[in-house]
Amino acid sequence: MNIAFDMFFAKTEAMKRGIGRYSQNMIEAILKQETNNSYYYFYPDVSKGADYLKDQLQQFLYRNRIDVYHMTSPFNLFHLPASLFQAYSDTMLNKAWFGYTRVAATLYDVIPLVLEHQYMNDFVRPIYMRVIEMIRSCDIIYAISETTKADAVRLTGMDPAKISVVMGGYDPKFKPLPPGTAATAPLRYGISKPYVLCTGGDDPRKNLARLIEAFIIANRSLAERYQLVIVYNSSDDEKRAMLEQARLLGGEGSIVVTGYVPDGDLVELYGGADLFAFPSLYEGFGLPIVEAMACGTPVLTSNNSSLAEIGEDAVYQVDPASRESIAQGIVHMLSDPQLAQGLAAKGLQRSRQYNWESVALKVTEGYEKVYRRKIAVFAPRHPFYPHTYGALYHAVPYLTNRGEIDVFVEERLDDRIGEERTEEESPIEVYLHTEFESRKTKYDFIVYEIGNGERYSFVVPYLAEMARIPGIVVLNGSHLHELAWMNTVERNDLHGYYRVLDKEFGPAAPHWMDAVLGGTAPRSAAPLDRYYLEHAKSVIVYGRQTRDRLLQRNYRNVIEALAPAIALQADKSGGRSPFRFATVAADGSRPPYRLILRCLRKLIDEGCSNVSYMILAGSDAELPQGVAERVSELGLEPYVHLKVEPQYAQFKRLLSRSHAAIALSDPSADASPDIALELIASSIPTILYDGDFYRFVPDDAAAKIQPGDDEESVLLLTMLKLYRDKEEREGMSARASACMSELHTLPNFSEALQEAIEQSSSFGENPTVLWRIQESPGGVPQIRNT
Amino acid sequence: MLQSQLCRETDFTQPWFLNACVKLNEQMRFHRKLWEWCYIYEALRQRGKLMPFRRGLGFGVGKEPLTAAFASHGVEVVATDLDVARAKEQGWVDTNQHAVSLADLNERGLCDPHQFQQLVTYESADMNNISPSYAGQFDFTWSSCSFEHLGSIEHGKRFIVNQMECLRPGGVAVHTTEYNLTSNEDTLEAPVLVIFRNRDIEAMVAELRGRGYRVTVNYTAGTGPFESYVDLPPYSNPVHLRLLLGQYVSTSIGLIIEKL
Repeated sequence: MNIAFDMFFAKTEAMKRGIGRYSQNMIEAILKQETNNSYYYFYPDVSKGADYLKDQLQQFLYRNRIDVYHMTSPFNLFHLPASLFQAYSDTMLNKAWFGYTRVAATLYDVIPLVLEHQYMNDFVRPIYMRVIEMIRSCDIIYAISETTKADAVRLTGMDPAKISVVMGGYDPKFKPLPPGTAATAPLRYGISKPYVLCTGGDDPRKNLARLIEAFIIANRSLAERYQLVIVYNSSDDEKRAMLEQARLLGGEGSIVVTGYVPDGDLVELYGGADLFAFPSLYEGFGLPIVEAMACGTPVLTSNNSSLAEIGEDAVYQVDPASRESIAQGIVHMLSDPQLAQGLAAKGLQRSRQYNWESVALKVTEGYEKVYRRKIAVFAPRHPFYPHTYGALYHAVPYLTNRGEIDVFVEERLDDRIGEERTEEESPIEVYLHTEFESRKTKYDFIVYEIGNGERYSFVVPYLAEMARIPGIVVLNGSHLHELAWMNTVERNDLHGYYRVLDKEFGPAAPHWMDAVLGGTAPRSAAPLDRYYLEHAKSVIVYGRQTRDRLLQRNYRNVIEALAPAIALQADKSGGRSPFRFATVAADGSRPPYRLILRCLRKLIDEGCSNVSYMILAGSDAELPQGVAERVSELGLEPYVHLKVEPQYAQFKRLLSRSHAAIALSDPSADASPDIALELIASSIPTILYDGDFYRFVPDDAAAKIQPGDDEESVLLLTMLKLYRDKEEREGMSARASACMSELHTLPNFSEALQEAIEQSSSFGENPTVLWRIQESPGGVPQIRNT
Repeated sequence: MLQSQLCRETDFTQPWFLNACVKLNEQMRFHRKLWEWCYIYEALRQRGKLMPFRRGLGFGVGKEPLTAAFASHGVEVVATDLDVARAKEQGWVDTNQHAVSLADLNERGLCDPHQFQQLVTYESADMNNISPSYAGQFDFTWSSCSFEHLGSIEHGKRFIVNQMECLRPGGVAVHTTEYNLTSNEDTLEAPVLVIFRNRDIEAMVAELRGRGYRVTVNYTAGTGPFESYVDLPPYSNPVHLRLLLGQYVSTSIGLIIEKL
């Protein structure tokens, strides 16, 4: 995954504040994780207007193929000086500019909406709300506390399902002082008594004025034994104002304002304090109380916002709006050492759950959740019908929840001929395969379907892309010798045929070439896969035997799936017509016509004269020679009907009016099972050879016969039974339909595809640099790239 | 974790080396220049220096790919080299080894151009007279085959010691140079090129340690088949781990010096 961080914060004052520290720690923790992700850093230039920013962003996303863009500081404009804020207020990122890139945002708080009277005005509000709109449109929102999430949902209507609470972490340097160590920092900052520490800020939300008041009241009842130490980068005026306030309240000398304190000293100041008091009116994530807890210092804080959420029972909670409540809390904590020690121990324990590793893990889990892979799918046409696509095409819509899918086809087909059209927008783009070359850099994965048929030939040249882009092959049939044959020998490319053999058999390739070309070995005796599959990250097969064979040959990720079957949706209205058997002659299926015709003759001779046999052929080429002569010899002309290249609607109608189908593909022909499964899925009682592909089809959902010596009598008996026994046919039809709609479904198949994609991702990169060293005798060693 | 060492044939088959080749978009070859780049890259990567919010200072960067590779990791880089006039005088421009503009440093496109523009600045710098403005500003410094060209062995030593001032506490310097495998007594010392002997490196190391810096050197020289081959002028052989400079066989040494 390519992840980009928005680095605007790093160029503004935000870098020195909480948001900058949070973003830096988060990014560093993410980078330290062991992942296969690549990271990029985008520096938006808002000074040249929205059009420039859009162009800059889109070029960046395109060049680096960014999958997820993380807005680390969505309110970045608010960190600019006032003059720049006004000037650039129209220049902010827009979700529509991101295209397919997923967008994440970190949401620190919605304080301007919580404390509206304090932070909002007519100029700020629309700008703030535009940012809120942008965040709301993001694919995932990382809230830094449950409080932030709850307030964002309550006050902005953000979708809670999109919000992931990731919390924050503290720097490990915040830890208890080693036993026996005397902190020297207090002396350096002029602290002369035991003290209550507070880290503040000039924001009234920090509630410092009320804390000073409350402390002075509390200190009186504690015999003025303590000082209040206020740490932040205060200006001289602010410091004077705080000291003046204390003086007016009679607490002169009881307040120490340190100004800026480096982290090393801050750790000592935490460690030396008797109490850390932080009664802020609201915090998105109360990092100071986490740091204090991590230093083993007892904490008093507010009973609101993330402070109560983080502190829970490990802190003393007060009402920050009540001076008395804060004062009572201070007295209570400082006069009950057991209570203070107990809370310090609990706090130390609790602080440990706030670490950056945990934040990074949650954030990257979020990236994974929204990441949509870019997947190219080479989808061949339907095995029989040339004007529609095959099952893979129909399965990919189920993947669109996890990926952006582009489908590459041999030619654009009207996939819905004869069907009622809907105007739904498809999430899938269909391209001619020739367009792949110009688009290929955008893909994370390629899915190919190949098998032994002409319809797969257009896919073959693109298989080489798997050397660079992870590829998944859906393998139709059990091996690919026929595909190799039709793409090499039948195209007079003997050299190409040799290359395929060489990849499979190495030094034995010449032997096999001679044997197959010379006719002494059938092609089925020489399974060929390696040339086509060697770079595949995963191979999906439909048969257990195919899977086992590939595994034995060291293919590492072979997934067995049930072939998807699409039922023909057509009305059955053939009640009065003669009893019709049908056979579909598709790519390489080579049905045993002579056998079928002999059985048909016997069936008629046994008195079943109200019968017909329909052969549906995709093209003339699908019909073996001699069928017509055989029909004539057997006197079957009135009973046998041949339909070549029927229109799709006609094809469906003819099939759906058939009473039974005969799908006896030559089991040695390495044909795919898709036509037979489509017949079964269409509830047509089907006679087929029992085989590996159909082992999940129950014996009573299809009529399975074994090839062999008695197959003619078995086929005849089966045909007779189906002809005579309507109840048997209907039962078989119902069971077939039930079985297919449960097992051989498109969603099930798409799950296998998804599994293949997931597994392929986890295999990591192939070695990118490969070489072999050859030492020539007496000469210079040579390095040969392989 | 990598420490200071000589260029070794065995490194070329290590996963870190392959990974660095990929990141630098370099074809694998048995060449010590490639080793230097991969070594510097890996030494810094292992020490967590290749990430955003880190600052790096490169000396004599020429057109090497490291600047762009570091910027692609989000590192803010100040890349320096001789000013053009002096580079031309010394022949670096004519041999196309001197960067004349910022874009030259990213000519392989290792870093997104806009990111590169944001993170990289290019400045002229004299390694014999490092600007005080660099003091304490960087998380790492590096140079590849540069400090042997500073005029003398002593100039090289002074550079190595002085450049440590540029580092923040916790920073690391990674520099590569020529190492004399033939002799610890005699060596080549010309204004344009010197070859450091073991005793020169040891003297450097002693001074660095004396100043509180951490450096550990492994001087083991490999004896692999490619390490037995010495490339001769014009150095066009594909195997180039060792080469003859004058009458001395030389290889690269990488120095990793940590500021605690």
